[in-house]
Amino acid sequence: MKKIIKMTLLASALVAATGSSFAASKDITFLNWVTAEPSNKPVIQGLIDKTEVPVNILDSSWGDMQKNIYLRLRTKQALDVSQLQARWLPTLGKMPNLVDFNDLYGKEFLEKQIPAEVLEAGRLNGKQLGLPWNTGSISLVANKKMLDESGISETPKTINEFVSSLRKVKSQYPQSTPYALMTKSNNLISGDFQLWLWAHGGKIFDENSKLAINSEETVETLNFLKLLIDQKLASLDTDRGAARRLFGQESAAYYFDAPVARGFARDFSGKGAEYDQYVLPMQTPVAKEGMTSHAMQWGHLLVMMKSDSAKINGKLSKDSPSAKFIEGLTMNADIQLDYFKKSGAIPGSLAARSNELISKDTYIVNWNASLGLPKRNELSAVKNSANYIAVVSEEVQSVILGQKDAKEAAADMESRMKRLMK
Amino acid sequence: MDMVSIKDRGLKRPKTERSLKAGDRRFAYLILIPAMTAFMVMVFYPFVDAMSMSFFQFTIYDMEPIFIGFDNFVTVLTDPYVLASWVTTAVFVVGTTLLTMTFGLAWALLMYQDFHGRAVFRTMTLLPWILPSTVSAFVWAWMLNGKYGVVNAMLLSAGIVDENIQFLSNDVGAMVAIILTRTWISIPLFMSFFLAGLQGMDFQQIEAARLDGAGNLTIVRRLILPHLKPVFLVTGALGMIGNLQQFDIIYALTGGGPIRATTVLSIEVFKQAFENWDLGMASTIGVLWVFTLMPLVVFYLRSLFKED
Amino acid sequence: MFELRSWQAKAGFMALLLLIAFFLFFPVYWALSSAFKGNGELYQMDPTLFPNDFYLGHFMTAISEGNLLLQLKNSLLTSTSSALLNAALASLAGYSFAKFEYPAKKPLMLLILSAQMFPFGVLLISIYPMLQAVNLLDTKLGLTISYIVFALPVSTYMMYSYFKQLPNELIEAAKVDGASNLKIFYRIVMPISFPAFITVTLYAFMWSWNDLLYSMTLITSEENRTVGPGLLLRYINENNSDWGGAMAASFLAAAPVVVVFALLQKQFIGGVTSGAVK
Repeated sequence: MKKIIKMTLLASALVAATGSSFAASKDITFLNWVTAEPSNKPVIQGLIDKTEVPVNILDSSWGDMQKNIYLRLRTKQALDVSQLQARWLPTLGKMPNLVDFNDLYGKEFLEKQIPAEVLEAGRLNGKQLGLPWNTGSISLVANKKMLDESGISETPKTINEFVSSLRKVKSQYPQSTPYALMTKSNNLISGDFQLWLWAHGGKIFDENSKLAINSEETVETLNFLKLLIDQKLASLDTDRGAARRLFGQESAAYYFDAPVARGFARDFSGKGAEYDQYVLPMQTPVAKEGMTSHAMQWGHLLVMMKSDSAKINGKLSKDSPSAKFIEGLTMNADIQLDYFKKSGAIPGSLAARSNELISKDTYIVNWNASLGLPKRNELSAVKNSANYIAVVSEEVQSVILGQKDAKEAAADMESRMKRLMK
Repeated sequence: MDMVSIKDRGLKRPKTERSLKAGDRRFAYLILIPAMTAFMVMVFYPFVDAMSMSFFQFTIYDMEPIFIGFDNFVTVLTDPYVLASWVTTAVFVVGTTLLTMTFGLAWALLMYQDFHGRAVFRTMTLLPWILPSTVSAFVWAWMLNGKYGVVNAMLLSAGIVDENIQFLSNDVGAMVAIILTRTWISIPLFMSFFLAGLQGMDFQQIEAARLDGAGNLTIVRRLILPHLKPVFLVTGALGMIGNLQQFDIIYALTGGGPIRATTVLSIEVFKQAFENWDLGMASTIGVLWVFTLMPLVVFYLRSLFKED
Repeated sequence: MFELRSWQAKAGFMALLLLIAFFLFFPVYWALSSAFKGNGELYQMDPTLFPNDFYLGHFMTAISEGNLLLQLKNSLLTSTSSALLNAALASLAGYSFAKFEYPAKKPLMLLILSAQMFPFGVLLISIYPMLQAVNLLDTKLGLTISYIVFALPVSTYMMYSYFKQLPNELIEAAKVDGASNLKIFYRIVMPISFPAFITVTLYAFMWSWNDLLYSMTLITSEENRTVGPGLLLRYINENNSDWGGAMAASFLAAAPVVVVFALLQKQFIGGVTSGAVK
């Protein structure tokens, strides 16, 4: 009985505690995944302090992010501003309540602040639903030190050259995984697969959004990936985290990553900025010389909800706390450069991009030269994209694990996606 | 138990007054209210809600649920990939429960024997059970790591394999990994149950059997196993139910992959609900899951009550 | 119980003992030893059995970076409260089922017991908006309440079987002395049922302590985060894998409960033995 009484007391104490914290919060609620990593917390807090808007930071792991946004909106919990992976926009952009920044700040104003191609990442059906916070692309990075040691003086241009360079790396570093292909986690697998599919001249959807995946190019791509695994030029059970570590420890010569790759190489090599010289962004090799090389568009957006914090006197306003906050993070050059200095995030605003810190940084210059023609992740725009991503990743895995041949898998990808589209 | 119920009957005195009985009954109902309320609010209502949700289309694109009749059921029952989850679940549950019971019993028998250092062993046994399941998943994922894992190192140096096995990247390896990890975690609890059952053994019987020349294994087979039958029943039920609901370890260890090799029903429901945001579909799978289970549960509940 | 006279019998016993002991304890040892290895030693293909030099860096960062201690506090608070709450509810219900006769007793009992078969993930879909409606989403209290789902059925059954075998004379005698049902329950029945109560509490505690599904979904803010999701989010995800840190944090997270269990171990086995499960 005493226990029960104690419990009741405890329970009421908890209620009291939560109740009071509710009353106190008038800050903007900002949901993001960057601060889920403790070492990033002071960095982001510093940026937020500079915007001079009182903010209540909520963090979620990257993997839980979409779920949290969705549940918060559906259950009408406080959410004013949220970070978004650019490729989530087509899905989450359909949620009601998102502010069109063209209405808020004015289209002309935005275009004066941010280059059109950068703004593009946050556009959906003619509306500017997201503003770029951190831009970039997923590109191939090479470990120049390993290439040098293996006698590779030029980065490979074609897929054949790429494979033979992997063989050279393997013979120089027998224990290594020459190319850290993503073989774990659906998102990563489907991302790397698409990059290689494009490199083979294939695509998932054609210009009319019809399925084009059951193709010769898909079969070639799948066989290429299987060859990498079979010949130990790539290995299973690899995700981005593992790849970054392998790269920094000189156990992987190539992998796909965003510009943050440099920061991780600094950490994992243990050599800090001294290691920068070996982190070499390069164009993705293509099937035949003369084909266009592609990188994958990548970036973080900020979206804003039509909540009380977005309004002044009941009307959406660019002077509202939410709008001030977003403006600070995405358009204030000082804040953006601060973020770049501390985390290597490439800023979106013109003012920040023309600063010497960015324009004279060899790595960034190389990075931008490595892009070829960046494409959007083809699976991001479809309805229920998680299902499509799962299909692609499952079929890719069944080929590299030797459970299916490439032809069968290509046909299955198409038939399973058709089922999803019905 | 039988002894008690005989005494019970002896005690049923005709002199018991009606009012006293009514008072007892009121008290009995009264103390049932808290648990019943918790059950109704946290289990019954949500499940009924899910049952009705299974007739609706309710995804991220629908701000309100749309009634679609049996469409979800048709979709689930014609999708071979989702149906395969039933088989995966069965493999995991049966494999884990059998393995746990075998090792749990063996360990209990060992720990019942008097030997030097037994107390230390017994205390340490609880360790795997006490670690949070995320921790256990980490520990096993690290041991089974395809590059730096100690299991691979052991197999290599013993000459059993020539190159590292990517346990978590192939379907058999991943299933073995989750079964082993779950077994590892459950052995302590099962050992406790079996140890408890062993306390009631009749030693004179064992002594008598020994005089008749029975060896250790015969004693286990003839005397100990029959004595433990009720424990088997309860631990079997607890094990099956626990493993059916198992989510944490699988999610932390394999996330349901590779491909769908370890996508058991609990993972499938979570993915449908919180990754694909298809609440109608998630509810449908949940409802079908409960209906598949129903016969098993009825059977077990019955055999539990037969003991009384 | 076994007679180990012949060397074969002794060898067989030892072999089985070592085999299972290795399976049970080696992973714990391995995790601990990995926690003390620096990254250079950790990430090599030929692992060392003992750490070369006892590297404490992983432990330091586990404590200084991130919110491990806060998460630990949250976990202990939610798991303990829900376990006690659960044990209290289970004791009351179990006592009602074990010692009273009334119509609808059996169906009600079956209903509660059957609760264990409802998929937790499906229940969560409805629990989420429910908690939200009463402002308990992303609170420790909300999580505590939700945890009751896990262990209540089996706990009720455990308490029921324990009470069932308490002699009725005990209760009858007290009744003759004029004690009320309530008084009998908490003055006489509960004190002698302490081992069973502890067993059930520990059993329920383990369910919540292990939980990932509910805590991952119902808790979104760092101040309320519990250990399981905390570790998962921090150490192993698709963009990051810090095994040394994960092992060190794991041990720090497990330590307090290991100590409590070591102390309560006798009671736990005692509770199981005395008939909470038979």
